[in-house]
Amino acid sequence: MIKINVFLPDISVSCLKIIFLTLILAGCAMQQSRPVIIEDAERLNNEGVRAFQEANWYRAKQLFSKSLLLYQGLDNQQGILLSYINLIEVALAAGDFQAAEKYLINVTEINQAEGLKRHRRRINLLFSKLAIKKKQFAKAQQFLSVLLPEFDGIKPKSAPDLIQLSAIANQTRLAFEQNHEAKLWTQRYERALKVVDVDAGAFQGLLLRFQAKLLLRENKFQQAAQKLQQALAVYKASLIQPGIAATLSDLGQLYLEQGDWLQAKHYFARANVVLRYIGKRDKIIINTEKLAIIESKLGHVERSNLIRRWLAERKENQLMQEKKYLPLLEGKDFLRSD
Amino acid sequence: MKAENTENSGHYIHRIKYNRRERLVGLFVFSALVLFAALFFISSKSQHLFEPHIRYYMEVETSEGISQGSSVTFLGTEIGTISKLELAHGRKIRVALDIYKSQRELIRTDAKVIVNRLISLGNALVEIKVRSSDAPVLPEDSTIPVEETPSLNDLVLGIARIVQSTDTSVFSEIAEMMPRLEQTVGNIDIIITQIATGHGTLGAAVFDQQVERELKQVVTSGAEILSETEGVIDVAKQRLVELEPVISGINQVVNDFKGTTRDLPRLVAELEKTIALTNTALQQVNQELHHLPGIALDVRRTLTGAEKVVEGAQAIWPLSEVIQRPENQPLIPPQPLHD
Repeated sequence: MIKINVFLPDISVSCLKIIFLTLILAGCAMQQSRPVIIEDAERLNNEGVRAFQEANWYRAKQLFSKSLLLYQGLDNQQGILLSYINLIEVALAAGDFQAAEKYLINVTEINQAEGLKRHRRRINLLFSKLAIKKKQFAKAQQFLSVLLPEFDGIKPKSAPDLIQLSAIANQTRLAFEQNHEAKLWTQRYERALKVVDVDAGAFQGLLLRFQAKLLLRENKFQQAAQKLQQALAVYKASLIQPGIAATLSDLGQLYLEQGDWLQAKHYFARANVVLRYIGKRDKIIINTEKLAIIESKLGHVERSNLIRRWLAERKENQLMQEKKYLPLLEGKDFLRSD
Repeated sequence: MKAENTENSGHYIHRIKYNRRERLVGLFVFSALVLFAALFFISSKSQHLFEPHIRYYMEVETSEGISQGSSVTFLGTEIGTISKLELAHGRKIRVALDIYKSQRELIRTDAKVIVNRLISLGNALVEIKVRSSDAPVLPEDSTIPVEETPSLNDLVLGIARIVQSTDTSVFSEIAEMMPRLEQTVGNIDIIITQIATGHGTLGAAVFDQQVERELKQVVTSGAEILSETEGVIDVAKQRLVELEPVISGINQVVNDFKGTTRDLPRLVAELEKTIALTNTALQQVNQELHHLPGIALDVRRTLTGAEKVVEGAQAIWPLSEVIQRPENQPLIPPQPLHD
């Protein structure tokens, strides 16, 4: 054993004793301790939520999967549901619709078996998001109809909660996709957002983008561009990277439609950098296809051909990778509770 | 920090107000200063920075291995340092030893300094030895007698000189013997030639014609063999002369090897002891390793406990004012679709 001889004045020892005593007393004054596994699972979920907010889908998925395993080990159905809901949000954000669908089926089964009503509305909201992403608009409408609040014209009859607000946002998106009552739903969304006491840049930025779309339909390019710049500022202030990427793409599209090739190229390129950071390959490919068109319009034929070749290679590689890995992934589905 | 705008209310320092955060920062800065002062105090104690010392001197043949700042030990404990080296009369080096005042009682009139340069290359161990603790304490500025060991370098040079002189004498003796050996072989050759030609009393009196002829033949062939042998000896002699430097080198190597192998049995014994000790240590480590998973669990439990204590400490004032605890949010809040 190593003996350390350190000379400490008596007064320093007394001070240290007082500090440690204070710390121990403070520790004792804390709330009652809970099982370590439950605390670990909650900690993993908390960290996962932070990773999700930083658009780190991979880490978020890892953390939520670990917490799911812990909850499954305890047969804690409430915890399992929480982890699954988080995993679905991650899968939707990352564009992994297959995984999202699989998790949604599991969640529905658990919810029905346990009779848990608490998360039913949230699950319906997730179903609606998945349906919109998969362009299944009728199905999405079905899920949203049970979530939407009643309106008196454009004014909601009661103050909507966050799930209802999200449902209104999704409904507005659906209206734009179906080209039916887009203006009405944008106004309803704007009104609902004013009623809800929520400090969320995500909802505000989305409203500005919807308003920009309406202005574009009226060929008010200048005003639409202003709205999009406002949306970009809101997203940047709240550090919502998917929103930033989407707005930059919207700006690129706006200038593309106006024939301002240089501006369009500038915004699509910026959007691609953000998309590359958050790992949204499908969106990168869409933007790059537009970049190829812009380059040819600018007279850069060689560069345009180069981009097209790169796109073709990417698509081929993606197809090959999917063929190679999909059977493996399907065989190793360790997240299912059954 | 705010200053009120009331005029003529004395010195401005009395109008300054500090908010809670500024006071907290001040408290932390002050604590850091106090901690720094305490550490400096502890460090100065352990390094005898401000301790008074008593000076003694010693005179050594060479300053090899001794330098300013080297420790002076007594029974293996540091009791002072070497503060100065200067040339003294009689081609000696005068070395000043600063002994800590608290250790002064150890230096008696019969004290002797041992300068051991065989401990390590380039460094000498300066150790003070005292025969009797009843002798009176040595007065300040006295010169303590010294006993110096030669350095490792001196030892090696001396051994090399001995080996060199031994080799030269051996080979000079061999060289002296060689002409006499050659003369002897020549004499034997002459005698055998005389017998072979039938001359002399031995050839004529003992053998008849037939025997003489046969004997002549035998002796002739013997003479031939001898003359050939002489040639071989000549060549061998030449080779020996050529081999002299090689043998001299081998001799040195053999001597070195002898020196090395002298300690071999002791080294082997020590190695055996070391292996046995290592074996025992490994067995103990092995036993400890069995406890490792348990220890890891205990450590984890302790860390969790410590984390709780730290969290608790963070929850109370003043740390709670500064450290913002992350909000617990186990579920991602409902999100609209961005794209």
